[in-house]
Amino acid sequence: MLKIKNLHVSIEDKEILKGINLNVNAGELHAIMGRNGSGKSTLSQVIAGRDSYEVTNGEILYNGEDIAEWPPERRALEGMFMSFQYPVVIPGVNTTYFIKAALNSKLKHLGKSELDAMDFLSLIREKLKQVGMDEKYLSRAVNDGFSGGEKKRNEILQMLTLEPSLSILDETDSGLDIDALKIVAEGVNNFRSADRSFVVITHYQRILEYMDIDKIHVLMDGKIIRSGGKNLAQELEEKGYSWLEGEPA
Amino acid sequence: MTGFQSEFNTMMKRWDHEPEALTSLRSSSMERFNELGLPTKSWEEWQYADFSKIEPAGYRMTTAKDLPSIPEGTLEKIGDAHRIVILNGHYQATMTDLPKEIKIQTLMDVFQSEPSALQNGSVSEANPFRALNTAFMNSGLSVEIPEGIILTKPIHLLFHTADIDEAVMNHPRLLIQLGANTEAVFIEHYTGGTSTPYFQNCVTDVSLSDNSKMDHIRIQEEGVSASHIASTHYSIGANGSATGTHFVSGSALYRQNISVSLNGQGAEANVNGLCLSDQNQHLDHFVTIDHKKPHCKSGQLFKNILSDTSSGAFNGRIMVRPDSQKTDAQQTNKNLLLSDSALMNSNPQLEIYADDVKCAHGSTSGQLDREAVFYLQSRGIKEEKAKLILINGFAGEAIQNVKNEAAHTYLDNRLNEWLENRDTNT
Repeated sequence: MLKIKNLHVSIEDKEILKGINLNVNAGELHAIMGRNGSGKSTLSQVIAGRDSYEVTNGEILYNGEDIAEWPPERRALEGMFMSFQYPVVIPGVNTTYFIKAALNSKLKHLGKSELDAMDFLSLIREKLKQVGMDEKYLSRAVNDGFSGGEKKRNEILQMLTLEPSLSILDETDSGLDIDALKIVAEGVNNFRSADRSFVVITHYQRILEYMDIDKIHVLMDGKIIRSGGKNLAQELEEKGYSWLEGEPA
Repeated sequence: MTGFQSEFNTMMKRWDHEPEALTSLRSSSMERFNELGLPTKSWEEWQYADFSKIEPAGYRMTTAKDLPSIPEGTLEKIGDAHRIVILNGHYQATMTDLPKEIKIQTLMDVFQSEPSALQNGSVSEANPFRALNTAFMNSGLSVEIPEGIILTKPIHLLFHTADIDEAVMNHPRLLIQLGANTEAVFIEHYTGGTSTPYFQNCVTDVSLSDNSKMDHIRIQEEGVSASHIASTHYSIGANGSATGTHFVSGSALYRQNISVSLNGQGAEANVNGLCLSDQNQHLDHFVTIDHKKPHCKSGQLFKNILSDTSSGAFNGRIMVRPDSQKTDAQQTNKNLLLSDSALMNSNPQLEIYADDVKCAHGSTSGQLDREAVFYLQSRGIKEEKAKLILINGFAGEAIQNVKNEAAHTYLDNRLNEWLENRDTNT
């Protein structure tokens, strides 16, 4: 589903990603772990289509297609989703309005009929339950006055509503207490299927305990220096990232 | 002799039937205006606007012959409302429909029954446009809500200018008085159906007696070449509450001096403004909130959205008098620049002479938040639409105090129309 080949990315002439290779098949859940500053968030932002980064080499293929020229909205409409590490606060824009506009944009793209207010409300109520969010958030401005945990749940709420094929979760676990973490992990687990893939980007292995992971990759200084199974997370937890320092990529 | 003076001399001949006291008030005000002259760049409180085009235009006053033809349905702009209609400066009694308990009088009636209502400060007046208004005031109206009346329908005052082919001017003078324990919604609405330059110089004095509540929605949609100068004063008694929303999209030049006097304990005022400017428009608010008594509350939220080479100014002053303890005053000015060539000047000021008060002010000007645009795009919303949603959300906060549904819908529609004509690709 997602294939990244020799990806080099710079921001203002500083190279952040230095040749990333990654292959995520349909139905798989991959975790990318790494310290702050290793390039994790750059990778997720580039996949989502952020234009402040420059891809200097390599390519990102989504279902076999090079997405270099796709604007962010096309990536989303084609089934990609990124849960933001820092969800943006948008004063004055109502949460219901925002999610409904996003969903209807997608339905329109798929050639399906758009949902009216009533149908949307019953759908979103169902999804709210799954992430343990109160209905009152719907009438507030997007992420305005939300706690860190509420913002992350709101991201997962959008994922469940938009039903993407590929979800990139960028540090969705940071700032969550253990209850919220379980709810988020459970939301992802229930959402998994043979045709949906996930890339979970995280600093800590904590969230991975609640998920069934296919592969873990360790990112350091812009390169994936080690890939492995679930036990790699455990090893990292015990030995720390410095254990892998000096590892050839 | 200035253009205004020569027009004044002409008018004084036409107004020769007016009471002596009014004639003398007009004359002293004209003298005051001549002493002051039009504001120049060196007047600190007026420095951002260019008034130099007003005088040479040689505006003449409209006459009863200047009445425009009004296409069917054009007056019912805002849903279910009582109407007061002023066409090219002339009050249309036959088009006006008000419940009988509301007292409406023309300027002449007012002057005869209560001359002091108009006399405030003609000699000491520091605002030249107020002096000019007193000298020329035509289309003067007084609307009074007697004690205890709760009005459910809004009163829509429509000042429409159309079908003119030379530079005309009008000086509307509006007195709105709410008796004790009243509630009312007023929509003061200026529209222009002409691209010919004209000059609208308005003075609106609102007075709220104790325990009265008013929602004042002022909409300025003058023609593109118009100059619209206004002075709106709210005087609020104990436990009275005024909400003012000033929506501005029209005219080439707009300058509005809003002043609020909180005259009794527990009085509250929330004044918001939204200016939408493009091309070479200059839209300018000068707001003064005077906390004269303890336990009063005021809020200001003013926003300008500027595109093309338009400019704007916001000057907000909060004054807290020595005895006004427990004052709560907030002021926010936020501006959105949609073009690199647009210019906004923001100047918040606090003058606080009491110690137990809560005052806050803040001002920001900037372009659309790229991060927010990307966030919406990443959810499948096209860039253009994402920008419109964000601008709409930004603007929406400034009109959220408008609780009357018909008025709110009207403003929403105007905002959307304005946005549809924008090129947000900056």
